[in-house]
Amino acid sequence: MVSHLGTAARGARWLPSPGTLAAALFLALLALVQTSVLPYFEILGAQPSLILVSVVILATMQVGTRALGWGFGGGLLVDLFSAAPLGTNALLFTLIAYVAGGGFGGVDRANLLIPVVAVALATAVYYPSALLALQLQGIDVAWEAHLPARLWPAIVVNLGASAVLYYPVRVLERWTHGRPIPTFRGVR
Amino acid sequence: MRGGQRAAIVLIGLIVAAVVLSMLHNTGASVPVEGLVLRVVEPVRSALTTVASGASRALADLERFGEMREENAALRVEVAELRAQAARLSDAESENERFREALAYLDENPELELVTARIVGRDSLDMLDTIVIDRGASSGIRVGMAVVANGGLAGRVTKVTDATADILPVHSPQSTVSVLAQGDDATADGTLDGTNGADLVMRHIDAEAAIMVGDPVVTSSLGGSLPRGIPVGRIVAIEVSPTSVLRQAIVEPLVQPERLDVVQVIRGQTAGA
Repeated sequence: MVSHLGTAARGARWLPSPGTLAAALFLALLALVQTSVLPYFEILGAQPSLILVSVVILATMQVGTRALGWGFGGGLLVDLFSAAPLGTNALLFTLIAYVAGGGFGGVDRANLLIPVVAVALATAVYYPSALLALQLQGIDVAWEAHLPARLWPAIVVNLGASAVLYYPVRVLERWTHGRPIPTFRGVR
Repeated sequence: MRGGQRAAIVLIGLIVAAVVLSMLHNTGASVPVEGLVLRVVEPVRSALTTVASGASRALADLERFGEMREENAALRVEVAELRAQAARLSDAESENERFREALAYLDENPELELVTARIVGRDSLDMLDTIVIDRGASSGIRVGMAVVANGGLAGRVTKVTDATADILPVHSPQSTVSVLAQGDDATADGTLDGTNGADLVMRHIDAEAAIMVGDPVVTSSLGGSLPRGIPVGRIVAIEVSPTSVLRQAIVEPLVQPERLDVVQVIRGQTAGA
């Protein structure tokens, strides 16, 4: 039986729901892995952006504002744990979550290609956007050195990461929110 | 409120929050809060980093394993080449030393006409253990001439071509040389035979001859083929046969034929010597 933690904790509204806490812990874990572990394991010269991938997968999976929260919170954690100025990734991931959720809102969510395409597009948008955001904050950015060499590998590794993260994000969403999630096999 | 409007409002709120956070960060106002959060997660990050860096190093080592094997093989080749080079240098130094010794022998025996030659071949399959030198008839070398090296008798010439000569070393079983054992008060004649071993055998020594272990053995003029007085070796043992009145002595040669690179052929004696 599926437990609906989100509704179970409605009694104390001033406290974060267990679902929110579980999501926050999940994001924190991903952010820590992304900033402390993955830099040691570059694949094709790039590292997967676990938070970005999770946010995009969630945004394509649910209708509502939780993906925005994931984007903001996850981006904030990445900012905190990495050398990025606070707010940079929070802003970018929030925007990406909004666009991913809204852009794919009207399509069939049971289609597994949706998150794949969304992750690839989000990665393609995120890298130049992040460089631009950093440049706007007065940081010297070597566009030529970063973008051409890392964009395609980043897309590839993020697609790989989406294959790994899709199921955990879906389980977490279902567990914390309690709503049935459409899959390619039907509504579960 | 429709879902789309709600999402837009939340989005605007979060964008504003992100911008504010960015401003706080740029002014340094957020630093204490950031420091607090980072202090809390520091143990976890430290542990993760330690594990990740260790695993990364292990992976890198694994990836480098093949490279290290190739490098190891290359280093082995290099070591072998360096060893060969060192051996060549050592050989060159040794050869130089022998040249100096040969020249010293020449200095000590100015009356002798010597032709210095380099050994260019060893006929190891030949039962005669012949050594080939790079001087021949064109250098005045003739069959029967004595060959010296390192201050001692090395052999004698057995065959001559225009450019080369074959030498029968004294250690060859085919070699027989008339010699003298020089004691303190007397000398003893004999013949020195090669044994194909390290030592030579001096035979036909008179039983009454006063010779002792340690006495030097030199060539005699008997037979006339070799000049008298060329050092050959020294006696290391004297054997008495119960069935013969003659004795024989074991002679340690001055020249080790297997170590020869350069020899001198005694072409003759200068006039007036």
